[in-house]
Amino acid sequence: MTSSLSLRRPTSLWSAILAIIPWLTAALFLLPIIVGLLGTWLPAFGYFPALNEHSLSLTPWRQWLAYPGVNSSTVKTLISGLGASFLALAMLLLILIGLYPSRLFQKIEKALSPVLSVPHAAFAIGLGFLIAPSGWLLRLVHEATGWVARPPVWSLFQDPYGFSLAVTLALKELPFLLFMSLAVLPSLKVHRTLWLMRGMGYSRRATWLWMLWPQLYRQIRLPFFAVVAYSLTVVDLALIAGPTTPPTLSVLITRLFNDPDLSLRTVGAAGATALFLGVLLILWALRIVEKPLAWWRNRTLRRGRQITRHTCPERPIAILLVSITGLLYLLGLVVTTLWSLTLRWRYPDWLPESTSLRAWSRITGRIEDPLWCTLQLAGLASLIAIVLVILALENEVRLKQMNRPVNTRRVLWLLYLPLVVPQVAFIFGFQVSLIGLRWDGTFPALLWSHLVFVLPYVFLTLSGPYRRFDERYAWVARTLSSGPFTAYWRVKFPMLLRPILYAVATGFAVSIAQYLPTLFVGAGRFSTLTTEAVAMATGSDRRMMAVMALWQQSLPLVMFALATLIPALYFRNRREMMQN
Amino acid sequence: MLKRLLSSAVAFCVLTTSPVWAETWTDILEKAKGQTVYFHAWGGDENINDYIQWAINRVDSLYDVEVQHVKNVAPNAVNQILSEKTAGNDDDGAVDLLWLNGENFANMKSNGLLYGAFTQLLPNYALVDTENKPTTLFDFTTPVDNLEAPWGMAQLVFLHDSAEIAEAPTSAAELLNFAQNNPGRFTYPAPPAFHGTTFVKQILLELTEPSDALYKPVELADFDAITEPLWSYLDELHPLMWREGKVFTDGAPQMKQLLNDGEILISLSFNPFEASNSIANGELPNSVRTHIHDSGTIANTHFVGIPYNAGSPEGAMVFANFLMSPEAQARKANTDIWGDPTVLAMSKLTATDRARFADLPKGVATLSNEALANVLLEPHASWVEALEKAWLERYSQ
Repeated sequence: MTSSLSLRRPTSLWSAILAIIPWLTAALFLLPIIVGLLGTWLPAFGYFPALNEHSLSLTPWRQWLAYPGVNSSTVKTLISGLGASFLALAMLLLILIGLYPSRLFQKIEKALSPVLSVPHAAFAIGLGFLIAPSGWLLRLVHEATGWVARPPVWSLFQDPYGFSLAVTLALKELPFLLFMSLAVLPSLKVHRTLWLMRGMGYSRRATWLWMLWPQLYRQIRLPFFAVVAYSLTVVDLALIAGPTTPPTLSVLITRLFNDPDLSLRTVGAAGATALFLGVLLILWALRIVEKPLAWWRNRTLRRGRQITRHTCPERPIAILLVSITGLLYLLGLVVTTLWSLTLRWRYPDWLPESTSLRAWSRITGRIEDPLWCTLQLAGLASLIAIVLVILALENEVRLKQMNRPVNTRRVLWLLYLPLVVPQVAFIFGFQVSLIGLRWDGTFPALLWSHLVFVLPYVFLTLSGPYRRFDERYAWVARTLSSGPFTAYWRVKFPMLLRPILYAVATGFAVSIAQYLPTLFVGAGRFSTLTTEAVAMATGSDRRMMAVMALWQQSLPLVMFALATLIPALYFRNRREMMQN
Repeated sequence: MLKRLLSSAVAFCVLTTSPVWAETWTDILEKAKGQTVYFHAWGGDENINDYIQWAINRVDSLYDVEVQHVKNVAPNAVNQILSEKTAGNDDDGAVDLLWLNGENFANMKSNGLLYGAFTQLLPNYALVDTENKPTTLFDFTTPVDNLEAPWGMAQLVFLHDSAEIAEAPTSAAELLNFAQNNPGRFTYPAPPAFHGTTFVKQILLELTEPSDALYKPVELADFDAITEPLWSYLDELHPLMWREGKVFTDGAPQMKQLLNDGEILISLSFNPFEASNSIANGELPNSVRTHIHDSGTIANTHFVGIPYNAGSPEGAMVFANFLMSPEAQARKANTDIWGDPTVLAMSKLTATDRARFADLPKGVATLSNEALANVLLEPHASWVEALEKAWLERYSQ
């Protein structure tokens, strides 16, 4: 392995393909967003030919700023969105200080994928079933003590300021951040750093805060930004757990887009644009503030202020936090299952008064088409995404070998645009362009729209482990095998099988969660498990809602289970591959 | 008032009811054969979904028209049509028929998003009780002009748990009294959710001296003076409501859940059969009963309409016609199936068809026809927007 000259040069066709891939991918996935944003910006400035508005003006913006409740809605959006993001980040830090590395942490790692596969709305519905004033927890209290014979008039859920929304979101985003950290943590050499620092008299907490966390943050910045953008713009979860009068901005905007008064569409477009700019501004501020923070950290460290060793309460707190989070997920699932089997169930009974399989049997008769459509969409989208992402990452490897600065990574940054742009801000504009081409309501267009969201997440999930791969294995393989493809297929691919399958499962789950694109790009011609579940959620029948929520959760769960099982089976004779 | 409205209704119909094309029903049936109709209708109630599926199967076997139920709410369907108009797809839209009424209809009509007068071509439209059900001609006071086909009747009713409430409040004043005695046990959906707006209109109608102003465009009225009693009433009511009026439900479906949970004791619905229906399927306890206010409650009609760019308008007409047939209407009125009141006039039906309706189960919690006959008309459509805006300015800041 002394010289890379012994490497067989990749064929020029192969390298040409690889060179094109990042650009092609970016273009393909930026197009809908740019077109969509334009389609939103024009109405935001008053141009809306369908309503006979042909001149540009600032009227929609004035109307948006004067719309009742916009100010307080903005405050609630900031409370819930930023609150959720930083709460999730703080919980992540706490868990890492308290529990990484440890046996318990390894167990948490294993439990992560089923938790990740729970769709946001399903999680919020389950949480509502639990902690509403007539929810399961109080029913259990009543059962045990006889207190609260009537549901209390106060509530912890859906408070008017958005705190409960922040907590709900944070509990849902924490597993995602934890998952993204897993890919980075091994490269931080946490164990050795802690050992070294302890020898110098620093506590676990100090080591994490001053040494490890800044490195980790830099590597999970992108996923964190996705969390920030998502939390500021989420609609479905905010409808269930969020404040109402006024709701958060994204809900308010969605309502304007859906108002029977069609002239409010332009006001909604202005609001969506404002929200988009606000998100960009916040992300920019978060990026900027890193520099002074780093400077401050260095100064403090240079001063050499001794940070004394003290007992670490983080461990019990982290254990408590993990247990509560886990318990909420578990109980949410249990109570959802109970509702799906209910015929009648009232407060204060902790179990249904009568049960029935009716809800299940009613749905089973008509689940086939949506199930099939969901499988096709999610399967194809995650498959195409994984191929494109692997090719893009291989191109990075190629560029690195040629000692060229990897500036295509900048191109790939653009891929994250879909995670930052609120869906409401571009999906209508995209729909209009598709209709103009008469592509709306076709399967390829729908698949394309799913890919726009699936691809960034697949990239986010896979890029960390992929970039950490020790390329020397690939070199050895190439020298020993007949060509780059064989070498890749026989050595690198199997070694990366686990992260690749996880990325596929993530993409699968993301595709399943798409509601607005499925409805609008699909022109209502395609019904998926999610469109069915949302339709049910607009009704009053909790039993049917529960059945649909469980159906919706089951597919990603199966995928994550496969992503865990397949490598386990495949590597059953490879001790080194079993670990990690 | 009612009479004046009716006479102007008749005048309007005479003036505007001229078929867009001199098509006959046979032509339409012929063209409809083999067409696929995308029917966009709210899909949150499995009973209604089942009913629609039944109608779909019937129309397939009777007329060879394939209908697809797209579980989509009217605003999303209207967005689809707007996007199509923006993009210039004026002849083959994704929506062939949609379930709508009120503001959605008024706005689609004024923006030219509807197909044109068509109900006069449908044989079953002749059976509709336009004489005694004025809301089949005036949708929230907007003249229907044959642009949408009546599907079912709706009336604001209240649902209460008789195990907890001995005597249900039958006026706005009694409702306030109830809230004072039972703080936190009543709520209504926040406007612009239409159940919420309807509740606000109901209270306005109850608190206002009978006047023509509410039935004319809002610009002509002294809005502040007329609505003053409404706002002082709501100011008093809100702190006594569920979650102290700081959090609202998003619609009647959520209120039904809260009623079952015992978080609230009074809920509301637009379907007079809802209580019986929900008891039958287990969503509400047997003790729930229906009541209305002594002044009468707001009643209206829900319709199906065809967008201007429908790809299969003939198929949509055939399906709309079937939905108005005695067979479909009687099945719809059955509380075991859906329980949605018919738009048809019994006097216009044959004896056999009349019998379909006579034998229907009524349900334990449904009011008698006499009790329900006490209806109020919707205020002029322009009041909706004005009231919603004023409500949001006051209570959503």
